Amino acid sequence: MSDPAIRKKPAARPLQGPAFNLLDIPAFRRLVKSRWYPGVIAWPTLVIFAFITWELVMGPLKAHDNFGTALTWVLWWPILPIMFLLLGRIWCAICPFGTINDLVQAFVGNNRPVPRFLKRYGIWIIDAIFMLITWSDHLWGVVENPLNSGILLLLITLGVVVSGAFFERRTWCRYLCFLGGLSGNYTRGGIIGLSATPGICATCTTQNCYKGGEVPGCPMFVFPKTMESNADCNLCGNCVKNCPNGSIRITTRLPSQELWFVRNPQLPVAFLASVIMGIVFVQNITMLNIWESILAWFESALGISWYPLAFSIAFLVLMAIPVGLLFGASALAARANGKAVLENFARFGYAIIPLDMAGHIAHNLFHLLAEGKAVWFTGLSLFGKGIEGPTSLVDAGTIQVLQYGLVVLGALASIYTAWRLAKSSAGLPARKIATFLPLAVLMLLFAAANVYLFSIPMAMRM
Amino acid sequence: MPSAPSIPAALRAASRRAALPLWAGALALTLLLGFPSVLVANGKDTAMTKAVGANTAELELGEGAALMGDNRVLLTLHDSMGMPVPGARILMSVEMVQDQSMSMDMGEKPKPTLLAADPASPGSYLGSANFDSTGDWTANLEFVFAPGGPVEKASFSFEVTELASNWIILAVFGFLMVVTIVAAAALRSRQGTIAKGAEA
Repeated sequence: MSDPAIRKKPAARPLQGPAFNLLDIPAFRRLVKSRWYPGVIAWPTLVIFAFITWELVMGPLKAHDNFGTALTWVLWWPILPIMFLLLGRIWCAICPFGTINDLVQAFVGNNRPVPRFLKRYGIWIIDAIFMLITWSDHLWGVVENPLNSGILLLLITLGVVVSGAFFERRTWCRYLCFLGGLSGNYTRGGIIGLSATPGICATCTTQNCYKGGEVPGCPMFVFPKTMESNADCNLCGNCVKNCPNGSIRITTRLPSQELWFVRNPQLPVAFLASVIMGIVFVQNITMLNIWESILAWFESALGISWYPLAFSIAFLVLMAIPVGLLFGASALAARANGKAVLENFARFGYAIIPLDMAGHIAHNLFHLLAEGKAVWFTGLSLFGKGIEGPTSLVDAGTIQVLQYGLVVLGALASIYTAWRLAKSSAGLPARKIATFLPLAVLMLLFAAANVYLFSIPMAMRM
Repeated sequence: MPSAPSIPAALRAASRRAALPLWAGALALTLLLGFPSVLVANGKDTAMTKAVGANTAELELGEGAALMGDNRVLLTLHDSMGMPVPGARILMSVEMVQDQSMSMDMGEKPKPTLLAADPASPGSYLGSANFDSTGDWTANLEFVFAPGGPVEKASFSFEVTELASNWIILAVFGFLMVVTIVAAAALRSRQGTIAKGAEA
């Protein structure tokens, strides 16, 4: 066997905890095994995507009036992290970019192997793209400018076409998509997981799940027998269709459960987790009055009068704060558990993920609930029926209570994850507690910062 | 003596060598094409604010940008406390900025139109303006805040553009995608031909 994805790896451990195999439900099993899945959802999604792109580029120039902006940033973007929590990375199975990739590949694909540097540095590139998009959004406006949102979608489409035309499977989704990086991280904390049954896979000689059989093999380069995480599984069901032995299971699990058993922590995953925390800070702090003073201080201290440069430096500093804090906590933990600081950074960075997800959902809950009616208003305006009025679905107080509740839940999950990771990385009970304490303080600090930032009124997108 | 590599093997090796520059090129192209256009595309917001006496006037043209043809005009007045200023009489005229070295003054002045108070939003005044060509324009406004009161004046300068530029953005991306697809198809066809030749 020559493919590195399916050689020299031991079988993964079975999922722990209370797991219910959803494939035991006949209707669900029929759906996943059907040739129509996921295409029956993916193709209409592609049509809607084409319409949204058209509306963003050619429609009203003000976000307030643009149906594409409402669908993208008020409806889709806030629902996305909730989907990752409840349904895993299923969005990636129906994502229009993935469908475009498959379409281009089917007609003109050269199916070249993934370049080695992408395999090695793909997640770092994703981290960099994620920061670049956030930075450009603040500097030039992507979310609040329909045309710029449209250009972003077109840029991604171009990247997907290049990837699908020359490289095998879903190279873009796995190694370059910034949303894939985010969804991968959040899916680790989700309540749905796909896994193989080690006993069955041990005697398998076909490996159709990876190589393909009835349908193509795993588009995300995942070999279920050895997978340790659901971060890269998009629940497309190809492995379920291809496996002749019924080894694949799609099971329920506790929120954040996968994070408790991280065996091979990756530094870029931990880095992305802390960067996402930085992004939440940037998103919120730029709405505060103190932001102008911070920028003015930067400008006078560095002798810079050019706003883009001053903002860029301030942006990098803000992004570096959570990374630095995690590094500091990892260094303190290293004194107790005797591991290298970077090893601790990589491991304990995973503990931030539940808080990231909670912060992200809480932030976007505002847009979904305070601006939800904008989808209806802008949709009607396409038919010449202009409606103006309050866009909120519930009052601001209710939204704030929900936001605080989510942050508290996220903090609890993060603290518990930190405890489990500390427990598995230190020997003696006293050392476990000494390893855990700096991380617990860090999670509480992040949670407190989130609560404070959510207590301040946010700016509307629409 | 080692045997020469087969043609498909050589092609595979060449394609592996080409992968890195191909990706680097695609990323560089994406950044080069994308971000300047983001920068340019964002310069269209036409909400403009000016102090008029003790009040502040915000003028907004079109749906976020002044475009050729008919445009909605929305003028919002606030006092120094940020409270809306209803009951003002506002006349507006628009004219294209003339190149002084090229123009001849024909003595024609654009006819001012009265902006109507928006009954649903105190302090807001609505109207329309037609721009028949792209370029730099000026809106001249005259305000009377109370009957019999003094006339205050303010001018706003702005640029009128065409929506057609968005077609160019779509066309550029469409062209790049088509080029990519044609190149991939040609490469695949060539690979197929070479593989068949090797088999024969």
